Amino acid sequence: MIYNYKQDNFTDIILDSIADGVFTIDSEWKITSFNRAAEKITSIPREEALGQRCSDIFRASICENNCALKQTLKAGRPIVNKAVYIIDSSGKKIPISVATAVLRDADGRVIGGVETFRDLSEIMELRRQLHQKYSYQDIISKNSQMLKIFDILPTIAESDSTVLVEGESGTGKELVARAVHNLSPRKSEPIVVINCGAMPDTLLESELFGYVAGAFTDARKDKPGRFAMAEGGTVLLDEIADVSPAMQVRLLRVIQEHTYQPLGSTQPVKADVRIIAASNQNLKKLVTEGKFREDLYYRINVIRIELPPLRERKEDIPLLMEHFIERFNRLKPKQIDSIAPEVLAVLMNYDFPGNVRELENIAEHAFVLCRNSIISMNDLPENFKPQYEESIPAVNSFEDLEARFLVEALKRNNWSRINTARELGIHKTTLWRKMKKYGIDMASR
Amino acid sequence: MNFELTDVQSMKIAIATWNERVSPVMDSARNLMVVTYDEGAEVSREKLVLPQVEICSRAGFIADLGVQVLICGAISRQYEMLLERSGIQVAAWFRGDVDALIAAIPRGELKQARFILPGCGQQRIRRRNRFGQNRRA
Repeated sequence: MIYNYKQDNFTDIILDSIADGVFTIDSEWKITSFNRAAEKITSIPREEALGQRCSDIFRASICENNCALKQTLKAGRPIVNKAVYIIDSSGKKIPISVATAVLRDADGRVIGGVETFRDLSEIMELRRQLHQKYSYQDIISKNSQMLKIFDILPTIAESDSTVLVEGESGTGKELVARAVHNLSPRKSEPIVVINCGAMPDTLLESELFGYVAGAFTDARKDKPGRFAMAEGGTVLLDEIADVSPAMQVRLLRVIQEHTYQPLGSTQPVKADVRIIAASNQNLKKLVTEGKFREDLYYRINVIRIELPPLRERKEDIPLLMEHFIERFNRLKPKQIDSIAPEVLAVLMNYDFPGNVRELENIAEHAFVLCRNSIISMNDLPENFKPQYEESIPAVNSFEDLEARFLVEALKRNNWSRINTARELGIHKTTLWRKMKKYGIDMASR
Repeated sequence: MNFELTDVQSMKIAIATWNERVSPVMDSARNLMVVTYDEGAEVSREKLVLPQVEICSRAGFIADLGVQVLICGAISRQYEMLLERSGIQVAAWFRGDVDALIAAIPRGELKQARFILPGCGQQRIRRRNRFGQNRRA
């Protein structure tokens, strides 16, 4: 059943005055009303939308596998503020938040559902600007070493030189590679990531360079490789340290000559790609040990970016936790407002061998388990609880408390006395005096 | 709309499917129907599950099937670009019942409004040279 839209219909006038997109569906998932904001966000005129299947109009990332309206109609419970994206007619992804509710008639019978949605593009842009002080191209940090990297990234991106990003697992090497790509003149072309450590030589070679028909059994037609897919854009060779010596020779040729040969082909193909290599091992050390080719190392080490592990940028832990919780709030039907100070204290005392990725997993674990609006100690993974009890002795006096407070603040600021004093709002000589009083010296870091 | 597909003498066409219809969003599609034509006649249909990996690998997976044309609903620019560079012609912004759509292909009836997503009168297909340089058809 399609409701006829009439301009003088009071309900429609109200709906059209709302800034959020609103549409309603009947029991057959057909659109029965579509307000002006919905037209604007989806770029689909109301007359084209009415009577159509909602998934053909809405085209959201959740339509097929995680439909919010379906969940609401099934459970009878509304969903609020779920962050998803829709794809408009030009292929652009538009971030939106959706809310759903059951639609009932005057007798309380379910006659369909209503979905409201809000374009988050502007809000996300504003949020990005708001966080700009400590955030750059989705990388969040206020650590001085990281801020230096933020400063030079645009220059590096502009240069088109090969970049080597080194850092432990989970430090954000791929984020940095994507930032270099997004800031470069190649940003409108794809960035293609390949994990060199995840596949054997033969597979890696065909993945990178592709093959021509007849190159081997089952190769019935030409298949372009990742270099062809990234033409004009960027290739990120992740975990390059794991590449075999034979494959290193092939990569060296690509970087030197900017050409490669698909498997089974006698014709070289020109590669117009920028190469970014990433490694969680120190390549220089591997060269010294004879495990990595020196000539390849010098070819990829034109510009080197070294990412510090999280234990060396502990001042970022509160920022990152806030960022993750904020993101989960948008993604999941739950609202967490804050993190208890003791939780942050425990996290600040932990060394994070898995770096930012491990912190993100901890944040998600806590978010899922949290039953109220504040993340508490009970929400942390099990391994944190005994460690927390053992590592924090009882406080017997105000002096004990102040000493511990100072140590925490120093750790947060990577033992920089100037930054710690600034954070605490005291003069650096006052801090120095208190450190001397409690026997806190730089050697105890 | 300038997409036409009447010459299916010998080719493989993949359609992103969901509940026997064209999947509305290719980026989150999980199923493919691969239809093989030989000498103009349909010889086989195969249902496949798309691996839930990043889009670059998904594009590679579809290319490995030997598919020449992919018919789908809405698709992001990035995914479309990667598919085209994998040697696949992308026919996006379609909808409708999969069986009806397959029947309409050799008859050249894909232009019918029932197969076109609302607000998308601009179905397009790009032709490429062997390694991904696009030129508009």
